[in-house]
Amino acid sequence: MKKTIVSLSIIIGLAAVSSSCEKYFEDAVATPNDPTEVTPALLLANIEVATFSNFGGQLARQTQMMVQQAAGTTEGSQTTEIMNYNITELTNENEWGVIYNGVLMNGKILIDDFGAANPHYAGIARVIMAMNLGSATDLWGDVPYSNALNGLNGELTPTYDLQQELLDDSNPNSIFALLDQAIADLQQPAGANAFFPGAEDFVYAGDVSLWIKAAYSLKARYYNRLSEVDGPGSATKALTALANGISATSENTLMKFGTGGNSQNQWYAYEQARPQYIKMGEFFVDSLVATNDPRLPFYADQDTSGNYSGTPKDMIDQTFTSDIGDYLSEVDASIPLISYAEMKFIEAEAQLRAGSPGDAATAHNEGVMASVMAVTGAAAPAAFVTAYASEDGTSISQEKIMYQKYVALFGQIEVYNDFRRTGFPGITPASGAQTTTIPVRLIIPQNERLYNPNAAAFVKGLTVPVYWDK
Amino acid sequence: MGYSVSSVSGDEVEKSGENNIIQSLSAKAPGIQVVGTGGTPGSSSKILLRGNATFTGANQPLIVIDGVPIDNSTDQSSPRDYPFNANLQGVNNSNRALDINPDDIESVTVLKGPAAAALYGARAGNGVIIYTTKRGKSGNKKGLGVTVSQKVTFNQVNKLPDLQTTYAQGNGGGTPAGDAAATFVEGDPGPDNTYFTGDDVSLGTSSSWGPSISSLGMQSYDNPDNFFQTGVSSNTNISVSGGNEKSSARLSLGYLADEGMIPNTNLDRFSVRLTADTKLSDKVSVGGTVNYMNTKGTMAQNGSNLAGIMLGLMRAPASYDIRDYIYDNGNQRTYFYAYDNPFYTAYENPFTSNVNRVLGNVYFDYKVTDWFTLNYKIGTDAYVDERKQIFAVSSYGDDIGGVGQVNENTISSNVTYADLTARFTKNLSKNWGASLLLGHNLNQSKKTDLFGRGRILAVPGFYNLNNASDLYTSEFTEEIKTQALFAQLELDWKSIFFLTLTGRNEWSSTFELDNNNFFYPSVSTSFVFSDLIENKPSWWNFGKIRYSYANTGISPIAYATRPIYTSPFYTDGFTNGVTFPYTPTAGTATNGFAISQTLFTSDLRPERLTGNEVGLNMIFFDRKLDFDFTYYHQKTTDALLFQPLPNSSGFAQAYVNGGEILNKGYEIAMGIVPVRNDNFKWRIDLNWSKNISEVLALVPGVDQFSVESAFSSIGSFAIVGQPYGVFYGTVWQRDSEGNRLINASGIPLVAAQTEGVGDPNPDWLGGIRNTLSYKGVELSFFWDFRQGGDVYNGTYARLNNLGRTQESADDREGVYVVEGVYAEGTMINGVDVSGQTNTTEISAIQYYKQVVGDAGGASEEFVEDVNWARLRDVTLSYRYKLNPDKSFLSYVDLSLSARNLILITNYKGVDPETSLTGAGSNIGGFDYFNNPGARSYSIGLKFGF
Repeated sequence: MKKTIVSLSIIIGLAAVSSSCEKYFEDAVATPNDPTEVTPALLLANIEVATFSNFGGQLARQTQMMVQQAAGTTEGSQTTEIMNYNITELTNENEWGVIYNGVLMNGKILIDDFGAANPHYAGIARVIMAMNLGSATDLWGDVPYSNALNGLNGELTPTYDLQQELLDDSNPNSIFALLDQAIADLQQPAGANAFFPGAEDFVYAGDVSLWIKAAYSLKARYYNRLSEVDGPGSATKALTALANGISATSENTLMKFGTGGNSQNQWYAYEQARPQYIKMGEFFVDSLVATNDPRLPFYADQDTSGNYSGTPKDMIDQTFTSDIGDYLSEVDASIPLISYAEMKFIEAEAQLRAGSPGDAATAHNEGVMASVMAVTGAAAPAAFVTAYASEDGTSISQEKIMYQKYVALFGQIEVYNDFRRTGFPGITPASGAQTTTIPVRLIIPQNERLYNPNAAAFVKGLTVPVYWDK
Repeated sequence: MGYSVSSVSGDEVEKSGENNIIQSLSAKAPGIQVVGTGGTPGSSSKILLRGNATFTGANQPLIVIDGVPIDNSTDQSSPRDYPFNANLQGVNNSNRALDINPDDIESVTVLKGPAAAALYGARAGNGVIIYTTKRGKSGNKKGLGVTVSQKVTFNQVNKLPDLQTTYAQGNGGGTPAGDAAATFVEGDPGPDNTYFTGDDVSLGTSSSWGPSISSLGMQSYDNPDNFFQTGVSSNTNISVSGGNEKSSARLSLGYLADEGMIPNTNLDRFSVRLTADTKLSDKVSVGGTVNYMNTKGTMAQNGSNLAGIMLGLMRAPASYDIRDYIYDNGNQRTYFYAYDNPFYTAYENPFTSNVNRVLGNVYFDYKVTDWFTLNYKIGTDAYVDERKQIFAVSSYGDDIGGVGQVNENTISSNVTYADLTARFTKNLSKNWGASLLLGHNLNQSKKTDLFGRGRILAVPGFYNLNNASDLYTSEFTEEIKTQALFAQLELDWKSIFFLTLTGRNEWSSTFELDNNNFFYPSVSTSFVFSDLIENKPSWWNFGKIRYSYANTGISPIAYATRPIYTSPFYTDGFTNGVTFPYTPTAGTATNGFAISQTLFTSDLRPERLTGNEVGLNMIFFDRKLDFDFTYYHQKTTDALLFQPLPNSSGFAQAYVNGGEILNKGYEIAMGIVPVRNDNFKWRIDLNWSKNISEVLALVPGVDQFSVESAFSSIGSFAIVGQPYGVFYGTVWQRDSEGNRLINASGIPLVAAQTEGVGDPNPDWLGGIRNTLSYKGVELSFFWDFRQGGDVYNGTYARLNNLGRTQESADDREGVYVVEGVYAEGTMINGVDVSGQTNTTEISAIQYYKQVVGDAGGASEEFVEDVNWARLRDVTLSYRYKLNPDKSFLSYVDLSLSARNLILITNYKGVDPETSLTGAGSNIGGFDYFNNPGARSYSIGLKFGF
């Protein structure tokens, strides 16, 4: 019996130990794998890299296929689908996630947690957020913003903001307001900052004056976006913003890539991982050949017969055609997010709308020459300048401006935005595709349709134009 | 027992011919579903009892060996910056129960419901598989028993998709113009033998839509036949056992050398096991086991992977001979500059794994009085798995493409499990007996995964991280600690009525400290009613009914209660994307962090699994007929899940309690002895089971979510009102009558929204074993049946697209008209044909790419409802007994056996017992260039001394 009691007391003793021994469990509760605190520098690096993924990855490739600068081939099932305008709610779920989770949410944390003591960081974050939010509304139309990104507070189903509201500069939750706040942040004196952005700002290495120019340039881009909504007003506001925008190619807002596996240009990585899936588009190559464009050897590789050719939109099993050239797809090729040439073409368009065709022609010519210089590293040949960069007040037209902008902005989502807005260049849709016209938006992703009851009203078909696409 | 228990003998395990103690249970008892991954030696097998009960935890049962749970995890090798579901690629890694030598197994007991959770803890909620190992027998007449056995097995691929050998690599074919329109395109990297350089003659194409091979005057090759070899496996076991009145011991050695059907794949397993038991006194016994295992092997790439064996092999055009796979400069010779030649990837890109493992346990049993026993048992399971994956320069399996890569991965696991129990046994009265067990359990596990990756190798063929110019390392540690107090009270009345009550309170480190414990009870009862019936007929031997109720709490996954920042990776699914540390040219390597895409909160509760089951067991006709019937109803509530969030909330998902899953079903086991006499015995064992799974609820506002990511066009979902893990993917647009909608070009239209397209869960499973023995000869054969259960045949979809299937070659010059009606607004020659029956002809290439191929076909087109009947094993054995007085040999066993000798199935791919995602995943039913299954023949000899 004595032994029994001893044994029982051991058990009871152990029981007491196990129930009170918090120490035993404590060191296994917190994860040893991930931090719970970050710095503004880590968040800024993150939102920039996420932006590079957004503007240099799938959305860029897909929109290039839409505007026939590039062509997907039957080597890839997904590229085949895109060439057939078979774009579903799953096609771009990932990119939507990169914009909201990768950029906007972390930008918001950077602003909320560190912005007050570090306005320069906050200002850069706002410029980057405006750029990404802009791409979201350009592609999907009405998207969540003013009520979004509140998951930490338990608000899990944000309402949607109309594109009209996001592009209304009197709305405090507009892209313009976000950019104005960014400019104000960036204009804060150095002394107002605890930390300064540096090497983790891959784009401008912490140069706030260039970020201010980028912010104005984005304002110009989005005012000009409203050309069909309010022609004269959008022209005036765009020109005003442009005055403070990017004024030289050396100031371009660039995505920066490296040679290592983590940091490669995504056009390059795609050609490596998905060889032959994407080629130059026939329309684009043919037009560059026809105009003897000096940018062609940079934009496209030679095809298997040593010439330049693009895959036709209706014969997408042709893979002997030109690959995407080194300008876009070298392993560490930088790609513009905003460029001086783009500003010149915006200026040309705005001047034309504002009734100053002479100024429009000057800006157009400067845009063409700036682009040739930026792409080829040399001034445009005289014959080319004569033929395509010597417009004047009588010869200039929106079609010419838009065509040259189309060429200059090769590889950028902006080309697709311009095509939808202006209808230039006049490309024809693929035949036998899932829609009879070129799609003019993306489908709100499945995870919004299924998990956000507010999304249903905004799920629209591929051929329904967005607000600014009148 | 008041709940369903199935037994599988060691003999059955042996007869299965499997080297994996999990795979050997396949179809052996009702309610067991085993899915192997086939292909290479050592690939994983997944086991499910009564379906899937949880979304985020383990769905497989707990594996217990001699009373101590062991680690049966299946870990993929992937660095933390790998952006996709690692289960979709790489090799078919082993489930770690593979390390156990099946020859050491005496018997297997399968507890299918959660009723045993009080004894084994929450992890037993999905059932428990208890392996009892062979031990030395005390009081052995001869003192020492020695057995030596040797078995040799030959494995062959049992099934492959039906491929064409008529048309060559190329484009433009598959039209009425036939060969005239087709162009032959073969990859040729030029004199430098390197693709993507200036001298490339042609990059090749993945398509086999070229002209007919005969029109080119070329030869056609059966590449799969040239590639696969007969795998030979040798299994040697030696055991020595013996004992006296007080002590006994058994020592066993096992060595398996298995060469795979895929060249350069193998598995070597060495196991030595010593078990000893001794009585120190009348009251105290001690004993223990120590088992050292070394499992090493070489595996080949699988699945969605440019270096995958089946990907490169199935897609290889019949016009290309893959056998000459390497150039003098060491580069691979391949037909298309993106896919590895399967020979090259098998020989030059091996994945190797070397596991050193020690399993050990000791027990101490103290009989304090005749009614009170104290027992302490402690077990440990520790292993280190050293893995290495190399990709040769010029292979496309590396992350970048052709630059060479080496991955070093070390996984260390350490589990300690200790039980202290006190058992009190007393007869309360003449009719009532009682036994009370009180116990304390301590369980801690720690797993560390270190991954080092080197890309861009300077010296080809030299595989060391020092040789790489792009380096990355990652580290992941998971430590889980639990403790528990438990009690079990057993009452019996005249051995007719039994009642068992249990309770367990568990503390777990995976909760926040302030709510880290929970309690769960169970009740089970059984009633041998046949003993109460007087004058029951003589043909009725036995009858018992049973009922049990059990509740189990399941802890959350580790580290899921606090918000964290993670090193993000951004990819669109087509490249490996951009990750950190990020190093732009002329910049410095810079780190970045982002808030985790998962929203974690501190107020998690345990997931609850409540099981109810009733059973009836009857025996008749002098034990010539027995049957056991079980109905169960198991419901998971408060299921922990990753609630999907709209990304616009700032998060992609939240880890919360919420779901409800129901599994209910029937299990029937029956034994019939049609003949039993002195010389001849025939026994038939049947089992049949049906599990009905239904997701009853998810969190409010969520009707469906992806259980685990798969492909962009199809995934595995939990949908309220539907079975667990149903396929959800792209579908055709249809009108209200279900007709497909077709466009003016004759191509069907794909709906913008995805829908449920199939259910991978089988309708029912069954097995019949016949055992006939005549004197020393025994013939045993086992038929395994599966009815229903969808498989996504992504392999076939792609092979149609590329013109590789036989079907796509049957009528290449013909025209095809897709059944359906023209979509609203379709104009043909200026006439609106909306709603009219489609008559637009399309070519073979359009049909096989865009309708029944994955270059446009909706995912629903590639989901196949799979049935099979397979002769899973046949064994003919003969035991020759010798007179022990005259010979040192006491018997010789000779056996001939075959596995999967016959497979009858409607599936168009490889053996449909296949899983792309393997045992480490909670989803199944995906086939995307999965490695094939095997048919095997064995001959075995066993000597008993």
